[in-house]
Amino acid sequence: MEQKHSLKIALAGNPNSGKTSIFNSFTGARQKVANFPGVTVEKRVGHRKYGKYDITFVDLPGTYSLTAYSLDEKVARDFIVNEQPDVIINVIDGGNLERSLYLTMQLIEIGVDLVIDINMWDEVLESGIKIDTEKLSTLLGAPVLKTIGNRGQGLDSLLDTAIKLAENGEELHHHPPVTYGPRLDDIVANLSDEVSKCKNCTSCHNSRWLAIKMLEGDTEIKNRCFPDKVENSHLTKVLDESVTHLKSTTDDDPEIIVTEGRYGYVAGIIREVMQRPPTDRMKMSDQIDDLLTHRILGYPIFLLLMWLIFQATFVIGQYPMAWIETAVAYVQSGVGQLIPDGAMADLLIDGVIGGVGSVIVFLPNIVILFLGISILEDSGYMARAAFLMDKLMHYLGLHGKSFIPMLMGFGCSVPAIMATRTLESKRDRIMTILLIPMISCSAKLPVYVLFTGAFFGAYAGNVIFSIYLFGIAATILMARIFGRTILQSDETPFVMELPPYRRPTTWSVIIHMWERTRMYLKKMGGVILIASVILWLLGYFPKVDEYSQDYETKIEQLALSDQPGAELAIAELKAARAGEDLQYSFIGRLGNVVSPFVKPLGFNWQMGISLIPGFVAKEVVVSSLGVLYFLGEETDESSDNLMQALQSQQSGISQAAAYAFMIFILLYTPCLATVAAIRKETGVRWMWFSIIFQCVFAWIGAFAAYRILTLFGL
Amino acid sequence: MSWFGLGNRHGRQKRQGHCRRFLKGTGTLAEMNIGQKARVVRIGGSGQIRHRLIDLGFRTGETVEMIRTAPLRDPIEIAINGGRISIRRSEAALVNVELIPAYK
Ligand SMILES: Nc1nc2c(ncn2[C@@H]2O[C@H](COP(=O)(O)OP(=O)(O)OP(=O)(O)O)[C@@H](O)[C@H]2O)c(=O)[nH]1
Ligand SMILES: [Mg+2]
Repeated sequence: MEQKHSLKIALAGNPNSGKTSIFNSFTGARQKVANFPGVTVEKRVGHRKYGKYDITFVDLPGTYSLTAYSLDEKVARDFIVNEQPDVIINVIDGGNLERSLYLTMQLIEIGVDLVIDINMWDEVLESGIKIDTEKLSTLLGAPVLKTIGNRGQGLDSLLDTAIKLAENGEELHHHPPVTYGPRLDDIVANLSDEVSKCKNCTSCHNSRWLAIKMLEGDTEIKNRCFPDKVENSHLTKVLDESVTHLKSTTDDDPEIIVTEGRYGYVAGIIREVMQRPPTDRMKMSDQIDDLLTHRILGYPIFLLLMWLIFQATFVIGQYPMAWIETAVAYVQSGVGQLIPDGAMADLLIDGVIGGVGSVIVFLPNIVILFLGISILEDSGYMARAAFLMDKLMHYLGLHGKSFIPMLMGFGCSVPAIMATRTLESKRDRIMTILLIPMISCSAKLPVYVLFTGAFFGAYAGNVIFSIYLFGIAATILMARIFGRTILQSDETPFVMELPPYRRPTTWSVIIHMWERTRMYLKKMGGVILIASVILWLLGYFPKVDEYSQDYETKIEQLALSDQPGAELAIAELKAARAGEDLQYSFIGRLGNVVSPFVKPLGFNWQMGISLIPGFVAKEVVVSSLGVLYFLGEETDESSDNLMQALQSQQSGISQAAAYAFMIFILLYTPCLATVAAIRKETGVRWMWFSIIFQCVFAWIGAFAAYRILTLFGL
Repeated sequence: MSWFGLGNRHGRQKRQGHCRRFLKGTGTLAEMNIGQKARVVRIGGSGQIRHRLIDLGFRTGETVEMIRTAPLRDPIEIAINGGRISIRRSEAALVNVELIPAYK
C-alpha cells in the first residue's frame, strides 16, 4: 500500500460564518455550533482519512482581522503565522462579503495558500445578492467555492479543491499583492526591503506582511522584531521615519491609513463582483426584533422565555423521570434476589445502584433544559439577550458580552468560563469568571428537582425558577461588591454583531442534546459511581464491635413468637441497629464534625455530609443522599424512593431547610472541573479566592434564607 | 411598517423632534435618530476600540442607518454593510457622521 501523506488544513474566517459547521461535517466531530459570534474560542483539531491523505483539520476561532487584541484573535493568528498550515479555507458569510474580504486581504498578505469558501449560499440566493464567483476568483488569485455548511452542501468539492491546491500550490498560488495606493505602497516596499535585510527576521517568511504590521503599530510584531534596539537601529530609524512621514502628509495614524487602504481595495473588488438588491436581508430579523427587543415588552418576553424553559424542564421531565425511577427500583430488587445477602449485595444495591440510580433519573430534566438552551443559541436570540442586557450589565460594571457566557452558565460552568475568552479586557474576564459559578448550572438541577419535588409539590417549577432568580440576584450583588472593591472598573467597549435569526436545524439541536446526554452518562459511570462506592464504604465500615443491646437474639425471639405487632417491632429494631452502625462508621463520625456547621441552616447530618463529595460534582450530592438514606434502612424498604425518604418525619427537614439547602447548592463551589477551568483561565490565586469566597457566601446565603423562611412559618 | 404596530423603530422619532437641528448636519453616530441614515466621516478613539470599530466595517464613506435602541436607550443598533451591529452610545460617539437627508 502506498504511504499516506499528511495534510494540515485550517478553517479561518469571521465569527459566525459557519466554520465549525463545516469542520464538523469534515471530521464527524460534534463541536458546538450556535448562531452568535464567538462560539469557538480555542482551536480544535480533527482528523480524517481522505483518498491517499491523512488530513488534520483545524477549526479556528472567528476573527475580524489578524491583529492581536483579544485572546481568541491571538489564537487564530498565532496558529496561522507559526504553524503554517498547508491550506487555509477562508470561510465567508456570503451575506457579509465586504467585511469578510477585509480578513481575506490580511490572509493573502501573510502569504498562505487560500481557498475561498462563500458559505451561507442559501441565504445569498434567498436575499437576492448576486456574487460573481468566477471574477472574484480571478481578482483574488484563489479558487472560490460556494457551500451551505449546515446542510453539508458543496463540501466535497471544497475539500477536493483544497487538496488540489496543496498538491500543486505553486501553480495556483498567485494572489496579486494587496495594493494601498502608490504613496503607501512605496513606503511599504521600502520598509519591507529593510525588514528582509534584518538579521532577526530572516526566520520570518514574509517581510511585506511584517512591514505592514509594523506600520500598523502592532506591538507583538514590534516586540518580536526589535528585541534589541541597538542591533536594529537602522530598521527602527526607517520605521520611525515612515511613520512620521505618513503622519505629516495624511494627518492620521498610519494604522488607519493602512486599514482604509485595505478597505479601499476591498471596495474595488466588491464593486466588480457583487450586486446588492435594494431589499435588506435583515428585514425579517428586524421585524422579529421589533417584538423581541421592544422597549416595553423586551424584558418581559425574555423572562417569559426563561420561565418557560424551567417550567418545561420540570413538568415535561416528570414523566420519563417516573419511568426511570421504576426501572431503577426494579433493577435494585432484581439484584437483591440474585445475589445472596451480605456485604457484596449491600455494596451493589445501596452503594452502586442507590447512588447512580438516584442521579440517573434526572437525565430527562437535563435533556429538556439543553433543548431549550440550544434553541435559544441556534436561533440567534442569545445575541439579542446581550443587546437587551448590556445596559443592566453596565450598571454592574460589566459588559453585555459577559451576558452570553453567563447564559451559557445555565448549562455548564466550564464552557461558560471558556467563553469569556471573547471579552477583551482581563478585568472583565476575571469578574465574569468569578460570577459564573453562581449561575445555576444544569448539574445543580437534580438537587432542585429532588428537593422541590419532595417539599414543594405543585409549586416545584416556580420554586426552581425562584432559585434561578436568586442566583441572578446574588450575581448582581456580588458584581457590585467586586466592582467596588477588588476589581475596579475600567471601561471596555461593547461592539457586537447581531446575526440574522436562523431556524435552528433539528440535527444540530439533536447533536447538542446528545452530547449533553453522553456527558451526563459518562459522569454516572465515572465520578458518581466512584463517589457512591467510597461513600458507601465509609458508611459501612468500621463495623460495631458491641451494640448497646443484643439485636440479633431479640430479633430472632420476636420472629419465633407470633405476638401481634412483632413485625413492626422487628423493623424498629433493625432500623435502630442500622442507625447504630451508621453512627459508629466513618461517615457517622464525619457527620458529627459537620453537624455543628450545618445545624444553624436547618440541615440534617445527611445533608451536611452530602455537601462534601458535592465538591466533585453537584449531582453527587443527590447520589450521596441516596447512599446515605439507603444505608440507614433495610434493603426491602428501598422501594420507598429518595424523595419519600426525605419527606418522612424522621429526616426532620422543614421546607425552609430544604430551600436553604438549595441556596447553599446554588452558591457553593460548583465542581472540580469548574475549579480547574477557573485556574486555567485566571491562575491559582483567583481559584482559591473563588473557592473560599463561595463557601462563605453560600453559608451566609443559606443561613439568611433559612431564618427568613422560618419566620414565615415554613 | 412595523409588524406589531408597537415597533420602537418609528414611533420614537416623533418625540425626538427637537433633534431636528441635526438634519443635514454632522455629528456622531450616537446622536442619530431612529431611521436616519448617515455617512461615516471619521473614526475617533484609539487603540483597541478604534480597531474593533474598523474591523466591524466602520470606515470613512460607509453608509450607516440607526435601526433601534435597546429598551433602556442604550446600546443602539446600527445597520452597516447589510449587517447589524450593536454598540454602546459611548462608543458610537467616537464615530463622526454626516447625515444623509431623507429626501432630495
Ligand atoms: N443558513 C445557513 N446557516 C448556516 C450555514 N452554515 C452555518 N450556518 C449557521 O450559522 C451559525 C454559525 O455557525 P458556526 O459553525 O457556529 O460558525 P463559526 O464560524 O464556527 O462561528 P464562531 O465559532 O463564533 O467563530 C449556526 O447557527 C449555523 O447553523 C449555511 O450555509 N447556511
Ligand atoms: Mg465555531
